[in-house]
Amino acid sequence: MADTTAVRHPGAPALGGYPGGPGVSGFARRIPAVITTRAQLIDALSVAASIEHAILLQYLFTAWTLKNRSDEPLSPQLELTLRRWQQEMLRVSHEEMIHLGIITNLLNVVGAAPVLHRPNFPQAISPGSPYTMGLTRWDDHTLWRYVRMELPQGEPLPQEPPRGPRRLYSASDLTNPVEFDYLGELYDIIRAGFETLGAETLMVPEGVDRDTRWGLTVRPIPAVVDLPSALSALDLVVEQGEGAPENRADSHYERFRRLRRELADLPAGFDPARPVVDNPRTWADHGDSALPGTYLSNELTRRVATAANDGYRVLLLLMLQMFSYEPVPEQGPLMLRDRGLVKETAKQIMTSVLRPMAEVLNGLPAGDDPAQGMAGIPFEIYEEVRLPPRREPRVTIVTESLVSLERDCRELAAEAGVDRLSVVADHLGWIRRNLTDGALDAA
Amino acid sequence: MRLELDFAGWFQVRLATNPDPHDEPRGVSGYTWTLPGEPDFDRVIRFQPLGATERVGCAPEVSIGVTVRQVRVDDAAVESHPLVGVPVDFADQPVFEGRNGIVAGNGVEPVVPLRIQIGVPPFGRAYSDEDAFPYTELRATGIEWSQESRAAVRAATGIDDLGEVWRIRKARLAAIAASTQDEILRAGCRWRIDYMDAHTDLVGDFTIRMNYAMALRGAIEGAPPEAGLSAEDWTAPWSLSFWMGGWDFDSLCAFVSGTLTIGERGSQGHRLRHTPPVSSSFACPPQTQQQEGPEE
Repeated sequence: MADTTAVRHPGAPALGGYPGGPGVSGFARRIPAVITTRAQLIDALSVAASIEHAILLQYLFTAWTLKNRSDEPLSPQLELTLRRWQQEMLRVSHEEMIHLGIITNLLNVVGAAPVLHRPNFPQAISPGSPYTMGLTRWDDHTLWRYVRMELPQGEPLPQEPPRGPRRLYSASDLTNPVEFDYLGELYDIIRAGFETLGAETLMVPEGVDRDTRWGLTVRPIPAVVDLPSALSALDLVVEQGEGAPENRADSHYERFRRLRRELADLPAGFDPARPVVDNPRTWADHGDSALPGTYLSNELTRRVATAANDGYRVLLLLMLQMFSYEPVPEQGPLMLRDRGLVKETAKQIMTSVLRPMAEVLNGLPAGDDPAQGMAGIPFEIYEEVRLPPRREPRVTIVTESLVSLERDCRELAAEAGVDRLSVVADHLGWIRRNLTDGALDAA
Repeated sequence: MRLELDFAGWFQVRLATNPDPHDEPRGVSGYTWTLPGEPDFDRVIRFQPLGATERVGCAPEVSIGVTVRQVRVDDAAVESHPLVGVPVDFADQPVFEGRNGIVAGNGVEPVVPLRIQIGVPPFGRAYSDEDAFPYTELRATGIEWSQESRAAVRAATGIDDLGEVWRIRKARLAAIAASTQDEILRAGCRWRIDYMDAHTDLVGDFTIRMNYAMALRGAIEGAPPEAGLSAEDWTAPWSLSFWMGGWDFDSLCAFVSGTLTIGERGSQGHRLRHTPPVSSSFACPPQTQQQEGPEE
């Protein structure tokens, strides 16, 4: 196996990020059970944004580990079944993108900045959380963890299944009290906070009600323009996750339960997922996670993973600009004037940069021996991505990042012999021209 | 002298759709997928059956093959012209180069590379010896939704209602699935029946079309097919205009109809941009409205 000891070496100096002892969570905040101030509401929404963000990344990572290539022989029935599973998981992750958009807009309407930072994987969701956030391949334990994550209050927790040798942490070792056992609890606290603080707390930015389409599909983000619409948007987040008590069939919770049942029905011995390691990391001794991950000890693979992280950073920067709802300047580079272009570019980076890179990583060894397992996209952020207060530097930072990433992908394509990284490099070059030169408009 | 060739027919393009990456080989999160036993998607626009993956149960309404339908010499139709009925191809494995909007948005995807070939042995010409992003002249002008456009697609394909065609096709597939011992074929038939049941929204896309027009100035292949064409006629830019529509996402096929003009006034092609062919027996009327395509 690859180096699965721990990314944080005992005694290593803290290097920033989210320091803390074993069991401490990067998600942890002091959230009171009853919110009475704007600052508390912003804190709670910030936690919710971090969690929704992390959840959707988990689902993407897991979906991408399913076998679906021609060189992964599947019977006709299995090919169709695994495709349907992948579609289901991706649909859920797309809905989580909408949830993240909702929370971001709620932050906006209470006057706060978007929160797109989150602790790196793996993390407990709170210091003594009974479950964890992690990037893991498709197996029964992963699906159980997702069922647990979307568990409605009052529903019995299904028994934790055993996990294979790639399981790197023990949820049952974490026995401390928790701030919330269910995501629904957190949203109950937030909802009550909005009701307590009332409509006068809202400072609705111009444009938040007009641009309500985001994510990879046509599902709109509910516009949040007043207290009733804020409460209704929160209810949607909970209902899609847990489901309404009278109808849970289409909830994430119920969909994951169905996927677990179908997984159990697969032929004995068949593994639907590639042998992807848990929680791939590019930094061996960073103190940002108290839980162990898998250091990508293969140097070439680690460089591809680092490039993927860089692409993820560009995405976050564009999303921060998109959700800033600033007045659009009349002059300047297109990236500053055309919010729709920024939104489309963010989607293009998801579909045509990050996903290909994630799939490339699934085919690269985590360590020097492929038998140790394959890599995956780490979605690491070691320094918070912040939106520059001045507009012009935003263009400079994005442009320079895209130039650098394009160059890295070309070099890696040649070194790793992976043509698809050249394709990604082409995309990055064209995206840069679209953002800065308006190449698409000119055409 | 002016030689005009009207061509038309069904073509196939097997590609993944947004939000899948453009090079997704099997299809996951868009609305097109490979079936068990089929080769990976390759995005290639195929005007002829060679290399295509024709799905069972689609004939007779869909049959891949683009041919010359009418020849006109100096505006006069020549019914017995030897080019009538010969195959028309886009060579060099062209693709719709959209890349999820990075290169071009919905409905304006350029066909890249573009080199037309007529007959066997072929004559033909490339759009250019060199073309590059953003492929300005190769782009379509957008998705056309007008009633006139829809009528033209229906007339050209002979299909008034794709929903009815799918209903009949599902019955064919059900019969095949019930009688075959081939597990792969049976799984594919059943999957396609479910697909057509679940994607009735795609039926409405059948009659929308994309219009293209450009002047071909690249390398010429073969010899002039008409003795009357002068060297100047032959080497001056050729005009090519066509539309693509009649999208049948079950068969992964669609219909193309267009006109290639060589010789006198052929170079008007660059001015024909945004104007569909008007002299073809499969002609579409002038475009009356232009709308943005739907989000994916």
